[in-house]
Amino acid sequence: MIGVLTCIGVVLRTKLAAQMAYRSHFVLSVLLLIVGDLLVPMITVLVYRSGASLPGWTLHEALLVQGIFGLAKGIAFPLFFGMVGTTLSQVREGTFDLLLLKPRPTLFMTMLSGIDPDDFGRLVSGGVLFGYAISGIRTPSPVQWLLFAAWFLVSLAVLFAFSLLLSGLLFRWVGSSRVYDIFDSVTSFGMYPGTIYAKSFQQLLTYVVPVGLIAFVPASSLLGRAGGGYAWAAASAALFLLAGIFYWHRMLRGYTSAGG
Amino acid sequence: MIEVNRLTKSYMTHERGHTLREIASNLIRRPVREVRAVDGISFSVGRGEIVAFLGPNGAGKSTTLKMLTGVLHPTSGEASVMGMVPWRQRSAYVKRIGAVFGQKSQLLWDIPPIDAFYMNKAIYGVPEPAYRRTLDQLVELLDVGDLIRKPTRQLSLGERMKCEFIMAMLHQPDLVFLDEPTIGLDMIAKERIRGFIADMNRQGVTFILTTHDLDDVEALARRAIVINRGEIVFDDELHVLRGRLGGRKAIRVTTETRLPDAPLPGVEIVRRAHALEADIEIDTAVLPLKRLIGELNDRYGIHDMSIEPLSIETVIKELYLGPVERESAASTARRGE
Amino acid sequence: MNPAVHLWHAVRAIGFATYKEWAAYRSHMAVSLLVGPVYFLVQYMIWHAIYEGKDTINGLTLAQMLSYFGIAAVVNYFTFDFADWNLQMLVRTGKFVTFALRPMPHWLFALAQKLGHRSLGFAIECAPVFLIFLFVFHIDLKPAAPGWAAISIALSFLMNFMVNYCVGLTAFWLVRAEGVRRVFLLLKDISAGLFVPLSFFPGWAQHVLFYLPFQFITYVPTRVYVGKYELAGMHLSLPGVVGLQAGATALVAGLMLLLYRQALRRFTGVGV
Repeated sequence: MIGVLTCIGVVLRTKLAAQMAYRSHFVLSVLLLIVGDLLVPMITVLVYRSGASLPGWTLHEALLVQGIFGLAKGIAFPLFFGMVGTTLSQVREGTFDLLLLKPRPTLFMTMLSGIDPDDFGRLVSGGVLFGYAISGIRTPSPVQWLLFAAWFLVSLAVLFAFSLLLSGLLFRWVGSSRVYDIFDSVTSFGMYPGTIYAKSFQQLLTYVVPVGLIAFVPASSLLGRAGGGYAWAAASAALFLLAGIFYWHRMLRGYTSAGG
Repeated sequence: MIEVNRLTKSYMTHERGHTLREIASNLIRRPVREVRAVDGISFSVGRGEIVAFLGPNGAGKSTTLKMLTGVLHPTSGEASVMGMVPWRQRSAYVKRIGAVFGQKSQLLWDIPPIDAFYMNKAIYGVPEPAYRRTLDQLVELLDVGDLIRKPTRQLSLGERMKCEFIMAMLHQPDLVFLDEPTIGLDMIAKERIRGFIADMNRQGVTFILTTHDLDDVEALARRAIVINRGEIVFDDELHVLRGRLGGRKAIRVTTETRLPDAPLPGVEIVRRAHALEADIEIDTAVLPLKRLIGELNDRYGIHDMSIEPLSIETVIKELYLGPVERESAASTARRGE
Repeated sequence: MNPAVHLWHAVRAIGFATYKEWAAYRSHMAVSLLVGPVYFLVQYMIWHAIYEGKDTINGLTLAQMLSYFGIAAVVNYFTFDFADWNLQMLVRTGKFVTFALRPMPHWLFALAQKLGHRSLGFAIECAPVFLIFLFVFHIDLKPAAPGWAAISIALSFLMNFMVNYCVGLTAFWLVRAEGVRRVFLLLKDISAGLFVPLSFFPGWAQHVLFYLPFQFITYVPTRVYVGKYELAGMHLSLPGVVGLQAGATALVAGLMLLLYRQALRRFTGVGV
């Protein structure tokens, strides 16, 4: 574990140093990443300003969902979502093989080489949004906070599974940057309160393609709206994660036996 | 064909640190330094020549070539190529030159070379009959036949390189710049490419060749310009370069007793293969071969011996190194074993 | 050869080569058949929820709102552009030099590439997505005035290219501005009205947006398509707004050429 953390620390530091070489790029990209993540919240605000609303949700409550979405991305993107970019470029260029030569699990190496400190900028936008949303709702109880923490871990697990699925896909479907579009479009369902969707569709978003777990369920737990019914959702998230790990390794095997 | 007069290019560069502290302070202020990439060089190239442009990495070679191809403006100095100033009449000028980069493909990766050729034909405005004629001729010379109809990504590096040449020659340029044209190729492919360059040269095309591959130079160029630290350190025919070696010869000798570090005046030990075998260099002007063999045999007993002329690599290496470095490099080599 | 004919031949040849090049990546492009409708489904559901108990929001009915998003998405597939990405890649890898050595300005080359790329995109993305919206979602996609709509979309095609190309040109000054580029383009999309009609913005913002070139990329062609233009309290007739669009396109073209010249001066190290 210490070894793992040391690796992550070293990679973070080197990448940070590399970014500093292009400091204007670094500062701007962090700054503008924040702006980018505020897009959907901005539309939400515009809708509420026009006197309309997402039925059953106040502006603060709706923004809470989107703030949590930002926070989850703020952890997932810099730490492990970069593996998608790694497989995207390295499989295409044929340099992925070098990762196979390293004395650590390939999945870990893939994740490591995708680490991108820029993306921590998303924590800022997510945090600001989250803080603003929290200020406008009833203060959550300690139990609600605890529940939220637990669901937030589930949220990260779901994002991890997504990274694995997309990254795995890129072993076969070489060089398609469109996987990001697929991710963005599919997860965009998760940026809004799940209750606005039809019942059956909600179930789909909770148990099958659990994008509802990225932000909606954690937000509900903070608002005290998450009933016990969601417990099964955690199990489905675990299953989703296992499927991701299994799929990734299967695709890796396919890649290595094809000889690149 | 090419006249270059006191061409100079200097630029500013930032200095970068690598410790965390330097990185942090770099956020605020970055030291700037002026670098003279090319420092007042002059030379000329005649029509129909193949001139090799040599120099160590960062010597100013590619800066010079960029100026000659018109993509870089010099800080000062003049150049006239085919009666034009490359960087001032760029669009008219580039129609008449060609360029092949060993590491920058102009082909389109996913589609056959023929499609890329067709595209360049349109860009250069080559009339259909001339295009047909040139293409047929080039395809035949390079023996690429059906290859040009296969997707580029399926071609071997050598096949791709041949197609790069076709791409660069379709508009029948009078002057072609080659940058590492044989890099990464196997020996047979290299020979093919060299043969092609020589053929085109016989048809009157002038070539400027930059490369680190001295076999390219020896096979193709009659003349070399060596540039180092932004200045021309040699500009003459290759045989002059060889002549610089004078009466020096490389000899590998196996003796019965170990050679000391300075066995005879005029003999230099370049490398010791093992205790009784050494590569030596002699200057026959100081020590004629006859005497060397006699004395060597008397003192140390010759067991075996082979004599070869020095390769131009030796001279070029000396040109690349400054006088001081040359001295220290030589002494390291002598000490070695 | 007549220069205009030569130009046309060159543009056609580049466009054709690009078409063939991308045809190898049909599957990548076809992702739009998933992504487009999925995004639209999100919009469809959200706006259905938002319109619960309301007839109009900002003067648009639910049907008009969905038409807006449907048309905006289809127009966007038609005018889609990544000239910026391409150009910054050429600059970063040094491959731009091979274009500097061809007797044709790179911007024209890039525009020709876009023509080829979008011809393929029209068949694989634009038309199928249009049909999905029409027959699966039952969205009203009938242009009010086909002629004006066609001109407006053609102008937006150029505008999108030129704005992106200018973004790409910044690579000559900012070596690794990938993040900047991405977010600028996002702001462009927002200001173009891709995510929400510009009439949803506060009054002052609408005034600002009116004077920026971005509305001509999505908002204007979409509104012209529907047959009714309104922004910042201004209602313009179709000829009026398309005329305005033509003027803005010419202006940005001038800007792009100026920036291209400066970029090339920098690349060639003039006065350095």
